[in-house]
Amino acid sequence: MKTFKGGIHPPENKVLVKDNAIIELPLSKVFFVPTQQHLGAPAKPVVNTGATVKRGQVLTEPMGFVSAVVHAPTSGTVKEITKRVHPVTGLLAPYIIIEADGKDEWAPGLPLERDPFAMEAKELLNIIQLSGIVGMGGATFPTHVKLSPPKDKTIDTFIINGAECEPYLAADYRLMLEQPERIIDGARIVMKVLGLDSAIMAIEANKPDAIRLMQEKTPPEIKVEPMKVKYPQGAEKHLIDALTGREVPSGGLPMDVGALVHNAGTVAAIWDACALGIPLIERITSVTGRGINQPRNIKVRIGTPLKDVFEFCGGLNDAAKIIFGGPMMGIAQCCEDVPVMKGTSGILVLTEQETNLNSYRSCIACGRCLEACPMGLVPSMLSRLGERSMWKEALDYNLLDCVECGSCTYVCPANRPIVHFVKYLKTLQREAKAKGKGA
Amino acid sequence: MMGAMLMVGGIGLVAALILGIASVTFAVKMDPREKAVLDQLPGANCGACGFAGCAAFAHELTTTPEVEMACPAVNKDGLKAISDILGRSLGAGDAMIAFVRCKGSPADTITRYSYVGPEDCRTAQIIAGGPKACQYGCLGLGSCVEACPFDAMHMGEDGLPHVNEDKCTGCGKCVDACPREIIALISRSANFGVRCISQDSPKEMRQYCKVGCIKCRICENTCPFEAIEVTQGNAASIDQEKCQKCGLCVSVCPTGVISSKQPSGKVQVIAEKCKGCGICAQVCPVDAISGKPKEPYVVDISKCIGCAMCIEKCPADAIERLAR
Amino acid sequence: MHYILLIVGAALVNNFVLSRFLGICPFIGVSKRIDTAFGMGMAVIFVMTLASFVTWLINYYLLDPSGLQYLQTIAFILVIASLVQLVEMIIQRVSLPLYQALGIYLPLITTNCAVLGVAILNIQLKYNLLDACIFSIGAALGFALALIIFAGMREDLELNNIPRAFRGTPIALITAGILSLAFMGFSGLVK
Repeated sequence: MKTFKGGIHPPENKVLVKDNAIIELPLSKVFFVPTQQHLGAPAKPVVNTGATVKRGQVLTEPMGFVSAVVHAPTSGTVKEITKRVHPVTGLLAPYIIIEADGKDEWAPGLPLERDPFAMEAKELLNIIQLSGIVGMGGATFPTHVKLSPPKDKTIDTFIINGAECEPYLAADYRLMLEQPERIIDGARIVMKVLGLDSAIMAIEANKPDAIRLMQEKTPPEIKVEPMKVKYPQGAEKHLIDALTGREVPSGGLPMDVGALVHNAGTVAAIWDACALGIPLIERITSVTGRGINQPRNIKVRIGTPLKDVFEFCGGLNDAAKIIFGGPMMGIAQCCEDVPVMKGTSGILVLTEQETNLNSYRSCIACGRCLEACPMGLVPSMLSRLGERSMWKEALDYNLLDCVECGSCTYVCPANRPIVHFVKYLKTLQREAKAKGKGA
Repeated sequence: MMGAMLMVGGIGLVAALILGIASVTFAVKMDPREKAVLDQLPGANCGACGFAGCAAFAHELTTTPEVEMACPAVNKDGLKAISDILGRSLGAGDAMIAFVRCKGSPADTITRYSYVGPEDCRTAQIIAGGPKACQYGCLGLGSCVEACPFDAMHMGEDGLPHVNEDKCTGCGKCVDACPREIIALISRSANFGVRCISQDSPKEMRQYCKVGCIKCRICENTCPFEAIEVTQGNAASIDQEKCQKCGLCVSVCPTGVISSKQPSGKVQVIAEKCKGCGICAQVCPVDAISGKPKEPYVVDISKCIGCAMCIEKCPADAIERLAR
Repeated sequence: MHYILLIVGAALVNNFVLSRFLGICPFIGVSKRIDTAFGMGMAVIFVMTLASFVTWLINYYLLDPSGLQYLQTIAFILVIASLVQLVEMIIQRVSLPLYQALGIYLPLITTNCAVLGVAILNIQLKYNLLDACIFSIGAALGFALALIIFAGMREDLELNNIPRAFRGTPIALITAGILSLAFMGFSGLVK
């Protein structure tokens, strides 16, 4: 079975939630919609306080090409535009707070009914941009930007990412089991935009029923490829390496080797946008961990407050840590007053037993991190340089090629927070670059 | 015997000749004063002077007449010695020391989450902006203490850094180490400082800090010398040039966020020393001193504001602060 | 072949620093950074080779014929001291930063027992002039090699959390001892 070099095998813990069918969360009374739910330039609100909005209505205007639109998750009134804690940075960021009217009325004309395969690639790309679609695996990179490579880069391989390698998460798995058509038709739209006549769907071998179902349902031009179960198989560079043998060059992007990867949830959202005109306002999220009483896979609107999610899932039980995303690369939350966003693939509520609170010790140069690193870096050196804030020397050790997957931190016997040091060094490098000190 | 002396002498002579020729061929202009100057410098290579270490600074100071004295760690005697060596008078800048502009210990503030990670303020800052609810306050993990090359800072029981004024040279390494720019360099002669730099509105700030500046402006309105002000959105700050060290602001501040080094207080005339010249009465801004010429003057304590202008101006050194 | 064995023997098998334990002072003192170690290594190669050449000549053409062999030590030190002064002047002119970085260790090459050691060994082992020069080149290369390897190790040690009691010289000496043990692996390579 295809795989890549390095990686780790953390316990999956998917059993908590993988057999739970997707349930739709009842509509909340208030929605907290951050204006920034994507990588790239921020977006400016285009509605004022007191304005009436309908479900799917445009709320923000993107400031630049690498940016994304945000739409209203339901109908109601704009209560306030203010700053609240953002789930990704933990700092204050602009939010549009909407008080739902309970009627959940669509914006005029929605939902549409049209045939995406009768439309031109350019038109489809435009719809994707206007629908605010971003990478829903968690990275939230604007999809229309990914689908618009520069003229000198040709894409010849399109991969649908159904790997879902992070422990605990099962959202993509349930999507594949329950709504395979959305994924397949969304993938065919992407193939049309890219001008390709084939694609590969990658699914990790721990989801045999999903593999079987997709193999049944996919047309011959989409090949389903079972992948060896290993973290981080779902990271784009390693998917490309495992499936095509091509290595993305240091500092480069997948398009440099002619490949493009989209999350299964993203392609499903692309179908909704192109065929039904529905912008990205909801997603499937796994609410799991031993700290929540009823782990569930929920269909949830963006902007739904965490408190409503927890209530729906039976409430917290001895919760010590709340993570948005998976346990390896997710972001721990500093408070509970945060909403679900476009990129929230999972909400982990971990008990103290499931968390690692031990202090760390000096690096013993055992080399386990070198074996585990899927990018072939020297994490022990990066952690030691991080302790001494030596970011210039860290650049020589390919600091910027680290994808922050967390494999090194997972295996370290001295319990060193290596990814934390890497993020710290990257922050120093960014600051120095901004000051113009040259890096 | 003769032979041995001749042999060794001969070799020595040849060697000396070769070295003599070489010393001319390979001559390098080295100023001996540079070494003398280097000896006066602390050798900590802290970089506060702006040059790459003490040796580089000594070199620049000796060779370039325009270079001014920039080492904060050289005391008065060292300054005189260097001035003598170089034959030009070097002025020291106003001696500065570090001042920590935060009073928010964990007991008085709200911590949002428990932080598990490297004990360094800069690394903690990148995790959701740090565990402290206040984005402007001290994280208490000690990056400044680590950075001090003179061992002049230590972490107190209150979770805040404390500056040892005797050891502090004002090099500024702690200022760079703090990710929130909480530490500032102030004049060594300054007596008062505001320990808060929060830019949050008083309502927001009171939600997570009991001891920060609430921007009430009472200090600004009370100061007779316009030395303290609350500018738009910022906490109160003191203009040390204007401050006359009367201490009124400290006594009226509702949160106690202004710190003072020496207790300010009212004054009294030492009758035995007073010559009765009356200069004190002339300079007193509140007319609290009165008396007849050639007789000891008297201070009206109820009027005295403790600004100590009289102490400064008295030619007989006959006025002292009252013990608090 | 004979010359290769001579060099290998002097540089690796009987390394002057790690096997003969000569020249420890600059070895510990200058090996904190690779660039200063390299500079010191080059300086020592120059001094050792030239010193061996000159001292050999002095011994066999001046001291032996006049029966003044007992002046060997004084004469050799005189030559070495002068050579070191020469090297100092040259380095100061050519690279002032290196001169300042080496600091006190540059004039200390005079008292470096490795340099005097090579000079005396050349006489003791009854080498002819060519052998003496090759031998001292090998010895100097070995010295430089040990210095540079050790500097690399010390630079890496800087990035580790050494226990307080061992920081600085103690851990350096322990590391030097282990490096010495490692070089013992070369023993028996050359008779």
